[in-house]
Amino acid sequence: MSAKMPLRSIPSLPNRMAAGRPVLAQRQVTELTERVMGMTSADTVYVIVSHTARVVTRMANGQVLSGDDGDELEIFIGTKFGNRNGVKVTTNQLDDSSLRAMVQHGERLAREGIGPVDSSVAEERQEPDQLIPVQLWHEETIRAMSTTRGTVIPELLGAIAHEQLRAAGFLGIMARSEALITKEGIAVYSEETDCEITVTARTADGKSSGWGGQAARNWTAVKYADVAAHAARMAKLGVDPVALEPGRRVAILGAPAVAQITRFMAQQFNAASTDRGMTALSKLPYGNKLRMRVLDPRIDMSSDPADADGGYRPYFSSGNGTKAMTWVENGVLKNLAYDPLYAMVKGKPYAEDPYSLRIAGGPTSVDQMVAQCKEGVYVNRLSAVEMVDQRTALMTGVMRDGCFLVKNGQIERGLKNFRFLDSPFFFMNSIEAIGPTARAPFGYTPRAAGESWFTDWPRRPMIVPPMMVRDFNFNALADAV
Amino acid sequence: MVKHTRRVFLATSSLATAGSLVTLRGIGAQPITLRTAASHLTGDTLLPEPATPMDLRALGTAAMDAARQGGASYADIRVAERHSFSLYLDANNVAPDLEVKSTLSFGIRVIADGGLAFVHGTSPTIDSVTTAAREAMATARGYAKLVTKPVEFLPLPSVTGEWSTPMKVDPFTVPLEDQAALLHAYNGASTRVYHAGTQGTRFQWTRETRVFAASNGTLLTQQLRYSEPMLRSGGDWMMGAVNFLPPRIGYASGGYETVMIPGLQDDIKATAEEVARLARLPRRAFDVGRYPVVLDGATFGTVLGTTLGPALELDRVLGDEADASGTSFVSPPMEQLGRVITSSALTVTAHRNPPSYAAVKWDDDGTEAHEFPLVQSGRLVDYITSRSSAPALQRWYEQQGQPLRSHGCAVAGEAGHPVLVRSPHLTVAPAAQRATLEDLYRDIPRGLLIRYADNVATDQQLSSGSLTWAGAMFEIEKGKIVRRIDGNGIQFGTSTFWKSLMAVGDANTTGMGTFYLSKGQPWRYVIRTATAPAGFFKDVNVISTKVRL
Repeated sequence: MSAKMPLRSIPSLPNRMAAGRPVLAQRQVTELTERVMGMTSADTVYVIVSHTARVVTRMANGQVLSGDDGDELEIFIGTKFGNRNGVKVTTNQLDDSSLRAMVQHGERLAREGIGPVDSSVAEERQEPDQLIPVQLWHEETIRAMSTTRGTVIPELLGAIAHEQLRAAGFLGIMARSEALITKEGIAVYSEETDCEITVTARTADGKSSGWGGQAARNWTAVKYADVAAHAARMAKLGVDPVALEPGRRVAILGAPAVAQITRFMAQQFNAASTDRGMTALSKLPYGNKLRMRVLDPRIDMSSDPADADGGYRPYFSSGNGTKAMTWVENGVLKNLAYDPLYAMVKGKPYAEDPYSLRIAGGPTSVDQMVAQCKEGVYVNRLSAVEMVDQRTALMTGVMRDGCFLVKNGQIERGLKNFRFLDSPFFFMNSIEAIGPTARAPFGYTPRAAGESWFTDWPRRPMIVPPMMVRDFNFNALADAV
Repeated sequence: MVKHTRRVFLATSSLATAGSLVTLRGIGAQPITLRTAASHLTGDTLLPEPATPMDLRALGTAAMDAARQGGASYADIRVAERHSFSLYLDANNVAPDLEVKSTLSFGIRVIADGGLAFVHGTSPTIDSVTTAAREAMATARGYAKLVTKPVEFLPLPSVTGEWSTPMKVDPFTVPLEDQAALLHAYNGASTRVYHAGTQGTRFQWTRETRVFAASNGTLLTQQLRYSEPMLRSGGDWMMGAVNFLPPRIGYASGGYETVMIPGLQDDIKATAEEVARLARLPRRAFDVGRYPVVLDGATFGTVLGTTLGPALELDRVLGDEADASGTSFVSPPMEQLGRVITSSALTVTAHRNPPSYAAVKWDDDGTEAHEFPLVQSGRLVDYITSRSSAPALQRWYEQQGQPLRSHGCAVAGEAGHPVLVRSPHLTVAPAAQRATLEDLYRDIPRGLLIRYADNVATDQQLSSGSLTWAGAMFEIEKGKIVRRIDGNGIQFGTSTFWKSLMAVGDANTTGMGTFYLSKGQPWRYVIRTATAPAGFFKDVNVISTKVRL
């Protein structure tokens, strides 16, 4: 091996898992950030070290398809001299020679630059904040990384096969540790665990499909037998689906369907975009709808790093602390998210777009919604949702794995899927009933066009209720099953 | 390989502003001289010395030794070092933003007792890769108990080889100062046109040494090069009204020659003038209903590449993605092959040849990639395959008198990603007779022309689509462009849409669609491209996207 090969490296994942710590410890990631900081003399330095480990099993066609186990290290260094344009450097090698090479080359570029000073670049806010204490790391989840495969996967496959259905699915468990420091004195650390399990159950003829899922920070909160049972029930209820005319109808949206829509709400709360007329919260011809009623009075939307059902790291990408925010209260817009520069311009407190959203729940379960519904469509889940127009939050997407005609208080039969075209600023103003709130699973949800949020797996927690709404726009039939 | 020099650059640039003295509209009256202190800086000087292929091969063979010793019936590894850097110049900025990235990663697949496991990592040591191989062995054996149909790969002979993406000018040796000057020049070619502008210009360069080693002794080394320029001219662009891409530049494999194109600044200027002219057209919403629609080549390529392309990926067709990206409406394969699935005007071939972005010599299964037909005059003749999926088509190939083989479409977007079947570059055959874009809409009494759309919302079987974002949409009346359309899109059933293709344009209408395709769980993305001529589709459902809150 040449001298290029590292002097220091991370022990292998099995060894780390055996030691009960699949990712680098706080001391190790912090030491790494400090090591990098010590290699640079730039005026402004920003270092993030993030180490993620995950254990994944995929299922398809009634058996295990494969796994996807491993870890990812990311070391990000931003350096800047004066007001000169900064340089961003990323590497995943932690040996001294690689690190020093990347840091010093980046610094050289930042120092010498390839253009004149850009005096319009304002300094970002850099004072350290007191962070909210959060509990995102759960030892039960770490233990599950080693123990679930042999027990959970056979149970899931067996449960679906028992119903004469074909199983596909996903079991993913992850852990991450991250440290961030800046030359100005910010030094923060977070660690988190997360897991998600999803099961698709399809009939042999491929004409009906059901899906269930759960996601949690703590593995013990996952009731995987319920996931398989729900998927099987959806598939069996959906056999021999019939086509119903598209149109505006009462919709009972399961929590996973609501989550697929509300994941786009984060950027709706962006103050700069809103003030420029680019979101549904813009007030035309200029300004925003702060203190105006924008949604049904039963809707409260908030985010809190210490949320017991989800929560997230208590600092923004700058390292500044994030606090609990109320975005919508009783349907009234209470706050917008001001990025550092825009906050300075507007004299507002700094807050990034929400990392997570909680929509306050109501008392009506899905079964009760069905019982109350004279005629409508129950939607288990949505797929391939995309923003059509940010200015109205108009979205399109397709029903998936459970779409049913509800008549006279009962699920009557399976329906062919629909495509929808609607905005939450319409249907969340036409609410008939709201159910209990829980963290919703996402399943396969890659980044959609126009989506600027964190979009890798696992997606940030979305804690939302099922809803029954009027006049939901099922605007076309979709042949997809 | 051509050595990059300022003289070469100036010789290939037609505007006098393309040197290091650049005047920017709207920044200030004084010409701005780019700093000379950094004239020696290049991508090479920013990045660590690349690992030698020998080092990477040593990791690969060590992992395969460990897998063989552990009793694997098959194993392979992709190990790669990837360097990239990008310069992005906003239209209002003087100096570009710079990002540099260097990563090393590996991914190992092992089959043991019929179970398949995948393990990836970023620690490039012998100990790390051999431990990972053993870990994959243990996991595969555990999975084998839950497998009723064992995983098998088409056998390949043991091959050793090296290949490099063809490249004329290495962008890692071109001074950053010169690259910044070219960005300024390209931005300026748009911004100097009255009522036109740009959202900024970016060059992004990637070099990757990727080694593939398999347990049968195959050892392949590829030096891959990617160019990801972002360049878009907008008319009335603050309103996002009309955004076009200049011709002849786009995502490709290759070197600096992919952006330093003789006459490109003239093309950018012409594109900016065209969008400025079109942006001045009156604008209104179109009535919903069914109308003839013409797509330019870039849009045609995007719609094809995001609907029919993934629908023909055989792992998806066979159900491997049922809980993730979904299955396919072109299923089951033995019932679909030989059937007419689109209009007879559509002929599609697939390949991984340079300079397409997907270009490689060997795929991530170790199969040599080759060109193959997918759709011939509307008839489905093949699927996009890998070594593990191709055997499902054995009977079809026997009927056709063709050998059973993979088409070389197994892809790990990065070495540490799982290997999945991914669409290669798709090419639609243009019309042999002259047929311009204008010819395609000349006889339309009332309809739509859509240009430069780069996104289509699909569904879990690719059976429907919704196109609501485009560089611009125009109303056609009596064969002429009369208005810009604001607040409409098209929605379609994929099969019906491709059967409604009435005519395609000639080779001069060809454009390239560039798009992201995601797949897997956790999902991973790859960038893909498709080239196509313009196309005329009848009776397409035009929807309204204009609502009032």
